[in-house]
Amino acid sequence: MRVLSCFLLTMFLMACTKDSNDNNINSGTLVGSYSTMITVKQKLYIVNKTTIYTYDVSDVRNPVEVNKQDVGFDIESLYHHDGLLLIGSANNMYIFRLSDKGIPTKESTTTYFQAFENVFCQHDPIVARSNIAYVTLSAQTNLNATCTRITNELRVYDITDISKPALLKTLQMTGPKGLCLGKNKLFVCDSNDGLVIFDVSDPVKPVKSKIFEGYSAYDIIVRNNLLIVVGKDRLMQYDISDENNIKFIGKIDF
Amino acid sequence: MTKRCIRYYYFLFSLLVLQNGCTDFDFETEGMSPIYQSYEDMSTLKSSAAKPIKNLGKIVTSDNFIFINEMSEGIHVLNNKNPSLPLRQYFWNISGNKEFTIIQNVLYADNGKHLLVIDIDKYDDIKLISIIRNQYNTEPVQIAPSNYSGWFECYDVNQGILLGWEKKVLQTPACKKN
Repeated sequence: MRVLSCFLLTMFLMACTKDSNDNNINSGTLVGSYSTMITVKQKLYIVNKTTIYTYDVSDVRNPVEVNKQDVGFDIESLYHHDGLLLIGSANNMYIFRLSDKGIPTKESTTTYFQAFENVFCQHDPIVARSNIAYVTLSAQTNLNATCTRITNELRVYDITDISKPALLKTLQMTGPKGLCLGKNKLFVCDSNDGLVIFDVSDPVKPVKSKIFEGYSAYDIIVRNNLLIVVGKDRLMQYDISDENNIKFIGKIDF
Repeated sequence: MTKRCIRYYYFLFSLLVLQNGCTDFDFETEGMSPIYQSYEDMSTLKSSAAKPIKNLGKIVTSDNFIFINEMSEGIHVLNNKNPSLPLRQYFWNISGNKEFTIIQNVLYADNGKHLLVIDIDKYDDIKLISIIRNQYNTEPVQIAPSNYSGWFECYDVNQGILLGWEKKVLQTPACKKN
């Protein structure tokens, strides 16, 4: 018995050192902004069109469903920020708070449009830092759906009060897609313009600082000093160790 | 007797007229028909040789690898040890796949209906661990064969994963592409 508890304690300690990074079982993996599956600590969250599922993945080969709840319609993206799940759908941004046990509870629904639009557009990814969230709304879609929305915007929301996110700013773009944050920069993929970089030293006032043109950019991941951008016909990588002097490293054509 | 007969034929005739008024005429034509793979069929799940990327889907990265979804077909595995020269190394064939993530050496990937839990400890030899059934709702989608115009049998998402299209003689197809 003593041997067993000793062994279990050792396993536990090993688990702790391994998951030093935010105690996330999945610290080595990063997902793009269109992901509908993310891990936080020992939980895997999956959204389908209408529902969010919580799986316990402490034993990664044996996921156990611990919660399931309806969210809304046309859910497309999932983002974790500081104990909150930000869920993007065609018309709404939903904010859920995670309990100590990792169970989500809905805190708010923010509607992007006042008037009803017949929207079949998909994918409105969200990123956030401290109390600011950035969302792209795009008229184009990568899937087969026909899109009737004419909006192409980058929106800035104040989420200090998560029960009532406030729209701070709207920036016009031509076809915004996936996005992610660096240290002081916001990187936005655009299906027409390529990679568009905003300075967010003042988080509420993004200022366009550079564009890498010439391709249709779709999604993006920041991995330490490496910026990985996938486009319609290529994968591009940039060195962002100096954000004011971003260097193109290499590409692969599909 | 004759009267009854006439009435009977009149009744039959009106039935025919009514029927034809309600439905289109049956016809036979050559066209395209969907090739299905059952959501339960896991025989094609495997790691295979790298191939070009056609329909870009979602992305995931780990320390030295980039994983890119090929819409409804599977996942490209790119070795990114040298970011100036990433290499396509494998293709994981997972019919119907669009959504995925990786936790340690386990891949979670959908096939349009179920969630598949897959052992990827060896990238060149992936293995199904288990199936979480009905994680996704199969919703009707309108898909037409590409580079084709004419009649085709509508794709029915409940019949399975769409693998491709084949030429066939069709009985009264309901779908047409101009």
